[in-house]
Amino acid sequence: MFKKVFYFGILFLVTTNLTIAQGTKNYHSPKDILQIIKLKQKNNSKISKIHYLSKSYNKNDIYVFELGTQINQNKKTNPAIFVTANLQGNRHYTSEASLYLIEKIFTNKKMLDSLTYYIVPCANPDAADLYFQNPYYSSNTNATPVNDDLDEQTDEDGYEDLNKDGLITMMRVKNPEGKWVVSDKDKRLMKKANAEKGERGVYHIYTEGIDNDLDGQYNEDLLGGNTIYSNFPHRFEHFKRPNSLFPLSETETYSIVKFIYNHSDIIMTITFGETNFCKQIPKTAKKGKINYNKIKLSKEQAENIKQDPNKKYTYKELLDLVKNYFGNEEVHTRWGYSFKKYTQYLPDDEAVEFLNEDIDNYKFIKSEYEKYQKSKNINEKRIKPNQAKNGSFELWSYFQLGIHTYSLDFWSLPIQKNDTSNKKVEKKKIEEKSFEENYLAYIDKYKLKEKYIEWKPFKHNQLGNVEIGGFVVGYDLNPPYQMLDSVFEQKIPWVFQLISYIPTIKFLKYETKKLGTNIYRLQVWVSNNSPLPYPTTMGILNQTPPPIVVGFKDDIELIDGLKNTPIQYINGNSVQKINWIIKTKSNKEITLKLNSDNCGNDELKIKF
Amino acid sequence: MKKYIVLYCLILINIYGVSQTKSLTDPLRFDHFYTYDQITEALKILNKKYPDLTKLVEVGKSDENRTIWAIEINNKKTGKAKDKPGVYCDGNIHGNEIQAGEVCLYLANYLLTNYDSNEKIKKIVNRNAFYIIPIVNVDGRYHFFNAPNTMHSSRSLRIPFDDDHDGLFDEDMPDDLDGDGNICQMRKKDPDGNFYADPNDNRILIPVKKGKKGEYKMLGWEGIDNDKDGRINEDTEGYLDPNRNWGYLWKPSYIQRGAGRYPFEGKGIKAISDYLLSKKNIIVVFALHNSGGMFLRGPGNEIDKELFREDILVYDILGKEAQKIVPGYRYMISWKDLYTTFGDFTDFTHNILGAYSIVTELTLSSEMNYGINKTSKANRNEIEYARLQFNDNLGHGALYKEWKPYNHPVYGKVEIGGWTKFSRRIPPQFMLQDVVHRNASAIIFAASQTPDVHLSVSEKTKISSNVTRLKIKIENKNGIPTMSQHSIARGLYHKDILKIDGQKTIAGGKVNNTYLNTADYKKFKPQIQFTHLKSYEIQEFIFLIEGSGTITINYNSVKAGQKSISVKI
Repeated sequence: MFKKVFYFGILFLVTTNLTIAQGTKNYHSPKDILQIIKLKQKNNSKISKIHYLSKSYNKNDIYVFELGTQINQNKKTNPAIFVTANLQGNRHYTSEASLYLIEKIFTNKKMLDSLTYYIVPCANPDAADLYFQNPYYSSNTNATPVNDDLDEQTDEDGYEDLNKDGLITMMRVKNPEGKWVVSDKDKRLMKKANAEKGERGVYHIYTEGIDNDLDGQYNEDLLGGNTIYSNFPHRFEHFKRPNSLFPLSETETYSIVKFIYNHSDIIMTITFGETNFCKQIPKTAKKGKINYNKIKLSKEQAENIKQDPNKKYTYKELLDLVKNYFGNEEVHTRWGYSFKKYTQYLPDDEAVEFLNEDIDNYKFIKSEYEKYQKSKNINEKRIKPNQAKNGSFELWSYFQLGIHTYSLDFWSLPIQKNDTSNKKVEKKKIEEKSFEENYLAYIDKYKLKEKYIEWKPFKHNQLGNVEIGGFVVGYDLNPPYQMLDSVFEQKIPWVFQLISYIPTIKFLKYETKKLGTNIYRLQVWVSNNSPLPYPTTMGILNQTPPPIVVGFKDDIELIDGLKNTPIQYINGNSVQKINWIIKTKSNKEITLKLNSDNCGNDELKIKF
Repeated sequence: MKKYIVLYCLILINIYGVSQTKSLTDPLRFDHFYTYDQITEALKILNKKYPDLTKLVEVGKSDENRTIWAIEINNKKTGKAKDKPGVYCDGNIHGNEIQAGEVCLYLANYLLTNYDSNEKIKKIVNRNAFYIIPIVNVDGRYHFFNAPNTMHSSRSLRIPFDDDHDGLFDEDMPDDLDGDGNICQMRKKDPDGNFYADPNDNRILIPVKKGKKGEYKMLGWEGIDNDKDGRINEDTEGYLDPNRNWGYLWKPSYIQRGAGRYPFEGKGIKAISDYLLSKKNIIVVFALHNSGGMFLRGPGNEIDKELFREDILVYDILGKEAQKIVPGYRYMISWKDLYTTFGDFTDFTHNILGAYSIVTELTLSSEMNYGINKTSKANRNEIEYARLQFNDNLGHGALYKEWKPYNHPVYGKVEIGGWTKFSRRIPPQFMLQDVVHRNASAIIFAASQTPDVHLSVSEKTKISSNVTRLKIKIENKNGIPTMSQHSIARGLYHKDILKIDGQKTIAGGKVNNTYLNTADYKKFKPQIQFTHLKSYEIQEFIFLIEGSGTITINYNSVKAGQKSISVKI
């Protein structure tokens, strides 16, 4: 109750422009969101903190909202979850989801005793802002100036709301060279004329506006911009608009990446956006020739480590083979001496596919998610979440941070029931083909009049008699605000369940064995009590996750073993054993410590 | 006069508070290496002495908060820097590659001190804008001089890295056990050793054949087990290679060693990137390294395979001439003739800035031995022997430490000796003048080839009572085009603009047959034409202009600068 009143208050204060279009009703603009966060921080100043990272081109703050009981500790002992929302800039419901999440965390503050949250409620505020302007349209690029049409001016030919309805929609104009006709399925839809079927084009289609720079093109050089969601440095696609020219070119992405690397307490990232790694086992859209799940050794390599040259290995299998051959100690030191010993067996380009061992984790999470959905009676027929794109935060997080990477999309267009009665095989086709039909059905069902505008004649200065109408440019992909509470009520609790699976590493037990006078063998078992491993298999490959180190607190004479032993990997619900041979007097008590940045700290007293 | 200059320098030194280091003399000298502080001081001296031609710019700070300096050379009287072709050069991106910094400083010094007396230099300076960053890796250079090093160390950025994954960062570096300022090698007499001393020269150790007895064990670089983990020198500086940290085809460190955790992780790298992105006129880039004696063009990686044909032609003009300017150096393709790398600086400047970008690998190893040239089939020991003789008879023993006994805490009685940090990759001081002059000259040659656009009216004919046909000739009088083919194909920025102002242009386009007066007329906005000029290319444009009076013809190129002429019709 408090929340609603509170939100209303904020809206009342901030939203002075009452002519704002229908579609944006109740959603919070980036500036509203920051106001909300500031207030929340003020009311919870001991357990929350705002990190201002940078400012976007349009001077919007890029910030992280930290929640936790260790906010002022330099070295944190609690693991942290990093949540980022609305990297697309036009998925405003994901920002709302992050606000809902924050609200839930503050209503159960106890969870902050053992966990830190870093939350970015809106990672692309420049794009998001456009949704709250009059007129509004939907865009996923920030405000960095880009000369889209490579002419003598930059950002000179944007949209105009010619019919003053507060929306940027489409224009159609009859033209003998036109390629478009009215769809026979629904007269509100336009489709390309199919000459093979004897159809002849009637219309030219434009977005609403004028040719500002008089070059014969309409709205070809809009304000801004570059994407944020595909600006991360994993398989970034150069020279593919609306990507910028190179990864991390944008202050939004650069500052977020820098923040993450400066916070090694992060154990999991969760993206609120267009993908859903809980519902759909993630895969990479384009297959490369490099496959770390099917590594084949050359004859010579196979001979070197006495293995079969005809077999194919996953990365993890190969690592274990090489380790067995050269010894664990040799392999886990990185560049110093022997990292090459096994990297020479690896493919010579970066991993593209998700690694099989990590896919097993995703399968586990998916089955838990399905159980969860059943328990909540969630049974939705909606358009599938998107696959993660090259250069996306999700792929970057998985492939380069090597920590647990999940995402949730919360909502997508419902599928028209009539159409899905067809055979299952065709289901995918229907989803792809009839996006606009689904969109119309959804608009009709919820009576969302502002999302489709009937075509109406308009006298255009340059084009003559045109009609203005159709869909909002970029489509408004956000559900009615009123729907959100019920969606989040059903789905946000899953976030907490997901987080409960993060690995936690503790000492399990120890054994000592006297080998001779004052000489002992010490064995210590370290256990992971969670179903997820530390780190991911990808994390072993990229060597980025901080190590778990088991070390002696006291000075001790070691005959075998290291004073600080790194643990490279612990599988879910498993143990790792460490061995030492020690010279010490009997009855001596020593303390072992287990240190990690992001998966637990522990101590163990040992008596000889 | 000389007295005044010395006095002037002394005042400067006081002003800038660099009195700890040896004060510089004016003119600057290139018979020995300057420290980071001295290069800073040298740049300030040049800036003070040539205030009309230079600007000293603080590009940014390094990871250890040292200033990265750029000296910009531009004659304001001939136009703003941004309106001229930009020639960028930097050096010492790897901290140990110090002579690269000297080449950059020499280039600046040479252009400025010869500006008044040498017509050719004056013309090049008047026509171009120079951006010179002598030291990219300022921390690396600082530590190379001020701390014990090998010739290969102090190369990376000073961002600590946990090589041995034990939770501690850079905690087991090599140690200068004998306190001579160098990290040399350790060897130990051992009857089970796998090396024996060459009877010709007992400084050379030769591996023993299987089954034969040796007399030495090699124990690696000088050092102890600082972190007491049973390993020696296993967590050294970094490693973040500043030349693998750029944002074009960047790949993570399990593929590209030294890539850093993310592109532009280095504070200085980020600052230089921002600086470069703001200088859109830069069309030539030279990045100076050591060693090997090479001029390298892209692509730096196998994925890109080859550049556009048009761009290769331009690199050939620069590279083939550079080979002659610096005898012995070879003009090569980076990935094909060496190896694939990702996230290189010059791949970034070629692909993102659209600048013709060349890596100079200074210093031929064959220059620093005793008579073995690079084409000979001498084996390793023969080359090592020739190097040692060079050390003995030209270096007079300064390049190589004779082996001396040392009592090591772990290994016991060992010997420490071998090549010093100022050997092998860095030329001895007597050769420095030649290195800096020749390599700066290769850059000056490139600057002489930057696009030089000339406009002229080739025809003016009244074709009706009120309409004049105007033909404009545009010509690039130099070897470097106004835009790289890559920039055009990838749409890095807009093409050059030829624009008519003053009267109404009713039609206009690029001439395709000057005798027939036919042209590709542009449908919209005929007064603005987009084009670019290749090496020495001449083009003609036709404009039909209504009315009479003065019109101005402007040529505006992002990289080739601005030109304009007026004509009365």
